[in-house]
Formats: sequence, structure tokens, C-alpha cells
Amino acid sequence: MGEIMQGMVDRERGLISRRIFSDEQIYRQELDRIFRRCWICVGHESMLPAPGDYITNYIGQDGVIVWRDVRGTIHVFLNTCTHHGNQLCLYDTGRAVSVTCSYHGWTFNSEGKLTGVPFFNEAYLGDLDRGRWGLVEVPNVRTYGGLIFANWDSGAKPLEDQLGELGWYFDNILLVEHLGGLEAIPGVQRYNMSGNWKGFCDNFGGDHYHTPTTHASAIAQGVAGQESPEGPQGKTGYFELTLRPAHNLGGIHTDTKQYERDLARAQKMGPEVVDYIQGRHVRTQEQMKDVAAKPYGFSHGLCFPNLNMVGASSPFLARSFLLTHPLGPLEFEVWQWWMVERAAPTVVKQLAAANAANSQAAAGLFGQDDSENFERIRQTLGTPLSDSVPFHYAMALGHDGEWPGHEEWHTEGLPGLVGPRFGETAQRLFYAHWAELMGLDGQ
Amino acid sequence: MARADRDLHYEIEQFLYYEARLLDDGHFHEWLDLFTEDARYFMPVRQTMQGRPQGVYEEDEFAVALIRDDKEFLTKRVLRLDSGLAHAETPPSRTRHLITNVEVIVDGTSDEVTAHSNFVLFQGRRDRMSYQLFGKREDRLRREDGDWKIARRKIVLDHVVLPRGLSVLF
Repeated sequence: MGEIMQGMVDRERGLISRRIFSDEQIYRQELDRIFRRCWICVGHESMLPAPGDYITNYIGQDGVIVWRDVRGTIHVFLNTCTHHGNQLCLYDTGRAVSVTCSYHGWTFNSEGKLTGVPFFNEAYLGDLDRGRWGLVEVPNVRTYGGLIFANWDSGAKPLEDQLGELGWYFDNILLVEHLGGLEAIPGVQRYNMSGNWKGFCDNFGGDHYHTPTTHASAIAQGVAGQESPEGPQGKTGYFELTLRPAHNLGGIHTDTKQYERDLARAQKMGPEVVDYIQGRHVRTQEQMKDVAAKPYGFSHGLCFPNLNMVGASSPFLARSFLLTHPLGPLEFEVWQWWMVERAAPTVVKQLAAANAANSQAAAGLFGQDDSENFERIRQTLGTPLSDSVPFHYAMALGHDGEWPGHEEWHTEGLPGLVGPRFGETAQRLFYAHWAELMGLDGQ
Repeated sequence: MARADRDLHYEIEQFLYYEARLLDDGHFHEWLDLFTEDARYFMPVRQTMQGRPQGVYEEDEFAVALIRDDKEFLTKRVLRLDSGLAHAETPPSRTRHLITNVEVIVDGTSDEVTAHSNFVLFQGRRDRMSYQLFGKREDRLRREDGDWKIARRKIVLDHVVLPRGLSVLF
């Protein structure tokens, strides 16, 4: 494996082999080194508020049950019977105190214990260690600001290490526990896309460069909440942040223009909404008091490896989270849901839910065209001659942190490397970190 | 609540076929003109939900949908296609709407009906790609100045995981 992967991620020249997007062997290794060893998001606590509530989701290609047991603890189990492998939970969402396999009837409770074995004495002569044959459970499950993360690696580093410089932004402007946190809007969109899952993540993870071209038709229609990409680089934004170990947030502004727009909108909606917009702003400014340049929100981002984010630029928008679940090297499923601030007035939540799917979504005016581009890229992957031409990720290579005019940017104290709106710095870090985890360090 | 008589049923059925032909022939503006100004065009997310066998949240529930358009937003979808920059429909998909199982229900007024129909939507993209979408529609049709118009369309797909992003109209 090491040999075939020589030079696939060339950091010096910003070149990336197309084969990392199509090779079956590399893909199998990714499932092991990335999806089995990283913290993977599997949902949000508010999706399973009551004891017994569950959702099903995926870690890599493995189906999992995310289940709040009758005592309230969240478990993540492989969705497979330990007897002969039958899939156990057949619903996307529901509530149950136990699950019974439809094949031979083994029954497991919400803590994963094997509690029922038909004909136990007659068939097994009483010789079965039921304590050993409970559901296969992910050993590490953590919640962070309500997001549920699971990690199969028993020697995993703490979640905070993986979140790295993204943690500060999670706390202050995305998951906002100081405001009461987020709640999921019911409904999950699921749609397949052609191509490799990493291409989607590197698009969310720093690629504002595609916006004016890919999304030209949607921008022309003025879809709510999406910012115009027109205009030169400003001193207070639009910024793209490269966050160690391999994350990105884009569409960061450090002025108060969006707050003023939101306040003007709130004034048309009544005093309750004005109080909310003002109150959350004051509390968030206080929360960030140690940092001079205070971001209001962001428009898109990536939490490595496969949690993509969009819509956090205004509290009037639902925040969307898009997991990319790989289905082989050349196909993946997007598993997308939306959240609103729990403390928001009902009218704001309803407005956010009503507009949620207009832009970056399966049938949204932005999402459609991304879908098309990934399908076109996929047409050129895995063919021998095309595969010999590397992808170019060398935009402004060698200028990281030294972009023209950066001395005048109002970004004092922001965690991470602040870059201009157009760049490929975050993508280069994404692939470098990926290569490191894949055992390709130093290439 | 009663079934429409044969003449009315025929009229509505022909309206649905005509409308499908406008879509398949790419006459999107003429198609858009078939909607009332207060029209709603709604497609819920479909999921496999324990305790909710149809697996959908209705339009008035607090939930995310796939499409939740008024006439203004539906118009944006069509104008986008005009721009020449809507990559997902460049070149345009070859679509074929097969409309079946039409039932027309009348409920008192002669100028409004509910029409149920099923569809198969074939979508061909460029050379090698094709997709099929199955589902049903529930339309509220209203007669305005003698012509039938769509006042509300609810489209329910039979897919939980969509085969690709949705760039076609239903």
C-alpha cells in the first residue's frame, strides 16, 4: 500500500493524485484509518430527546443505531444481530425499549444487552454466555454542544484534540450552548451523489472559489440567506479560516453588518424577535470578550473528516449539517439535517424551517448544481489516462498567512489561520491530514 | 366528497396530461402559468418512521421538506433554468412524466376538485446517466376564468434516499 501511494498528496507543489478519489484499495484503507479511527458525528441529542428514542445512521459504510437507553445514556451500536448478522433496526427514527431480530428472535435491550434467546434451554442446552453476545457497541461516544460523536478506536485521542481550533467556533457561534444550544428540525434529507466523498468535503471545507461559477444561476435568483460573492476582498471579511488539524470555516465577517440586517428584519417581526436578536448578540459578544475581532457567523465549513456545515451566517437561517457517507470510492450519500437555536421565538424557528431547503439541499437552488459538478467529475475518475493527471490545489501556494493586504484585516485574536475569500489553503491541510492518517506522512 | 362524473374526470385527466407534456417539452413558463398566484408546491421528505407508516410530515408541521415553494419561489426555479447557468439542467435532462391512477374528487363546489395521480418520472442525463423517480401527487385544482389551475400540489416520492439532487419539476 505504501508504495502505490507514493506522492499521491504532494504538499510542496499542491498536486493531488486523482487516484485517491477512485482507487478501491485506498478506499478500503480509508474505511479503516479514517472512519474507524476518527470521531464521526452520528446526529444530535435533540433527535432522541426521550428514553428509548433512537435514530439510525452510518459510520463509514456500517449502519449504526444511536439509542438513548431507558436511563438516558446514549449508546451507538452496530445495526446487526450478533447471532447471524441480520439488520436489527429498520427505521430511520423511533422509540423502543428493546429490539427483536426477525430471523431467530434474539432480543437486545436499549443498553445493548442480549436479554432474550428463544428456546434457550432446549436449543443451547443453557450453554450460551449471554453477557458476551450483546450488541456490538462503539466504545467511545461523546456529545459536544449536543452533537453526538462516536469513535471505534479504543485508543482514540480526546474529541477535543480532533476538533482542535474549530472548538472555539463550535462553542461561540455554531452550537451556542451559552444561548441554550440547538434543536433539530424533524426531517432528514438523504441523497446520493456521484464521486468521492472527499471531493464534497473539500468543497465545503474552504472552496469559496467555486461559488461565483457553480452557483451563478442561484445567486442571480437571490435565494434567501446566501451572500453575493461580488465585490473585492474586504478588511472585515469575507474570510476563509483554516483550522488545525484539518477543518475550515468560510464566510466569516468581523463587522456588525449582518447583525444590523438581522435587527432590521426583527423589527418588522415584533418585539419578541427584537429581544431575541439583541439578547443573543449581547451574550455572544460577552462570550467572546477575550477576542478583539468578533465573528457573527459563518456561511459554510467542514469538521474533519465528513461533517459539513452551512447556514450559520444568521439566526434566521436554519443551520444545516451534511454528513457524507461513503458508498465505495465513486459514490456517497449525503445525510442532511437542520437545526435552530432552542431559545429562538417560535416564529423564527418556523421561518427557518420553511426556508431550510431552498438553497443548499437536495432540491435547493445551490445543492442541485453542486450535485451536477460532482457527477461530471466522477465521469473522469478511474479512467487510466485521466488518472495520470493530478488535480491542481496550488492556488496562492507559498502565500499562506502572507496574503496581500492581510495586515489591514480586522481579525485580531481569531483562532486559526485567517485567509482571503479565495484560497485552497484549507483543502491542502485537509488532504495533508488525510495523508497523515492514511500513513503517508512526509510525502 | 364524491367522484367526478365522466366528463369532469376526462377534463381533469386531459389537463394533467397536457401539463406533463409542457414539462417534457421544456415549456416551463407555460407550465408555470398553470399555477394560481397563491399556489403552494410542496414535497415532503420521505423517511422510514416507526409509528408513522407514510413516513412524511405534512405541510403545516414543523419539519424540513424537500420543496416548500410558493409561486414566487417556483418562478425562481424556472427563471434559473432560463439563465443558461443552471448546470444541473445543462444540457437539459430528457424527462418523461408518465401520469397514471388519476382519481378526481369533488366536494361541493363545481370550481374546485382534488386530483390524485401517480407518476413515473424518467430522467436522462447526457449520454450514460439515467434516473427514475416514482411517486404520487395530490393536487387541488381551481377553475379560474374558465381554465383549470393548480392551487396546491403535494408531491410524495417513494424514495428515502434520492438517486441524485432534484433538478427536475413534477
